[in-house]
Amino acid sequence: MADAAEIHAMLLAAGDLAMEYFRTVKPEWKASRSYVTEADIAVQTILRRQLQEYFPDDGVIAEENDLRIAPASGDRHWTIDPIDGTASFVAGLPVWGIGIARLENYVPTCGFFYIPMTGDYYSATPDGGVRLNGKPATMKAPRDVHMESLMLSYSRVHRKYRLALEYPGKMRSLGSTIAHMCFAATGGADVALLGRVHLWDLAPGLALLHQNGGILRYLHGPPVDLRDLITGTQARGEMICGHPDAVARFEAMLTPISR
Amino acid sequence: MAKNMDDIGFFRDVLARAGDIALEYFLRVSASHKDDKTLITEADLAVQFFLIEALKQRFPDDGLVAEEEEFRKAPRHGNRIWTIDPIDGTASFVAGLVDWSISVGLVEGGYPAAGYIWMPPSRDFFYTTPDGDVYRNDRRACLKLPVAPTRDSILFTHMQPHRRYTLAPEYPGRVYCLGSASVHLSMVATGGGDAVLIGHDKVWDLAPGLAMLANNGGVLRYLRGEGPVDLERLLSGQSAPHPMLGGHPAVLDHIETWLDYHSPGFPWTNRHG
Repeated sequence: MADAAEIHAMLLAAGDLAMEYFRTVKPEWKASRSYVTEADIAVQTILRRQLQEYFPDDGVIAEENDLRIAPASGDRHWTIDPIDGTASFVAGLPVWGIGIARLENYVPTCGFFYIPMTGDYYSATPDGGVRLNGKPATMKAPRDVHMESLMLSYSRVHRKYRLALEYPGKMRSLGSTIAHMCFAATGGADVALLGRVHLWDLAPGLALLHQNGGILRYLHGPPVDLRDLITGTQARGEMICGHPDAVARFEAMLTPISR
Repeated sequence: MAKNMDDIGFFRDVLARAGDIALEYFLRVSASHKDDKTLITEADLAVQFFLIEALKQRFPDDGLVAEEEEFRKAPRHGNRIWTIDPIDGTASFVAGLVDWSISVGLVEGGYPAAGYIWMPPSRDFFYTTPDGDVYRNDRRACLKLPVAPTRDSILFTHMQPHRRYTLAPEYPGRVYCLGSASVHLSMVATGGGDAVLIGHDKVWDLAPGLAMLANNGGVLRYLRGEGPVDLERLLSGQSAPHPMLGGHPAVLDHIETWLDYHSPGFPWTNRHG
């Protein structure tokens, strides 16, 4: 069984590998119309090998090539998102990262996310709590929506939702789902809106959110059940996460566009 | 040419040192995750003071304009004025995010002539000199091809665009907001995005990135046919009179068709700067 330091070292090494590709990467198209890169595959390969070595009983669910390995025993899986924010990565933007999570009976109990460009490392474990760069990190207390409020968003929100003119705060879109969830879970933002992403995009940030008392639910809808996403399908709708009270307040500022 | 090469070395060194000063404050802010206005102001002033002294020494004849405390120094000779934005993207700085920059621009006879933008957390260096070439981390960089926007196009926006206009759902691409006009402009100028929508920013937010954009064949123009952005008129430090779009002109024509204004008068007010 690997300890927290070994997981950290594993993600640092994966980040170094991704950085080698960062400025020279050439995108190819894949069926889902998102970018696949050599870097994605290289990073996933080393993470999968190491996770299987450290946790031989656990299964693995990963993005590239739709990888599925059933648990040898028990009901634990690791999810791997080798590069979350691939479009940012390809464009040369700074916010992208490497995310892994451990699911027990499809509930994320551990989550880890590393942003190589800045060295920021987010982690959530049952015994260590939620940490940013090794220090305990908490969620923002919910406040009324005001001028300094910060909502993070996925990059295509304009196609489906309209933000109320009355929303007095700020909206930012940095290009990485896991980064947005980690920021919302550790006080960097009030809430994050998420597009129709996959299990491996959600699991690491959800581990942080749950431990800090946050929630993830479909916009104007029910909580997200990761079981629906095990087979690699996209989430069935857009989502919002953060402190439950903040989620309710910010959700009220968003109206679906009828087309 | 030799002079410009010297300038690049000078700015690489000076901006890295300015970045180290800023990072000392940044780590304290991000450690606490608190909206600490005092710390920001201290960081802004410390970085600005350092840059002013360095620029005065190297370019004694040139003028200077800087963000904090409305610092202005007229040129002793000639028509060169340096712009300084000690920390562009203070909201990111406060939130512990990575996309803030230290930006220095050169306006010569009213035109953007050079720009140097340093992003300390990610150690990204964008620059262009009056020679005209644009670099990101020592690699020549150019604009993206000016094709009609697709699903993979990237539009950068400022943080409160919803208060002024609506981006039509028909715009097929992605929208990113990293939080600093300088960073957005330099990303577009170096092929990291297709266009940038900017609010009522000021000359030190615009000059360095605009130099890169202009040297690569891009433009920065006010919305709704209000013409190109004239830096000369902003040198006294006032906010730009209208919101603006930057990028290749053919791409901007497309983007403008997808921007709806809430009301004829509203977008031009500057209540939220």
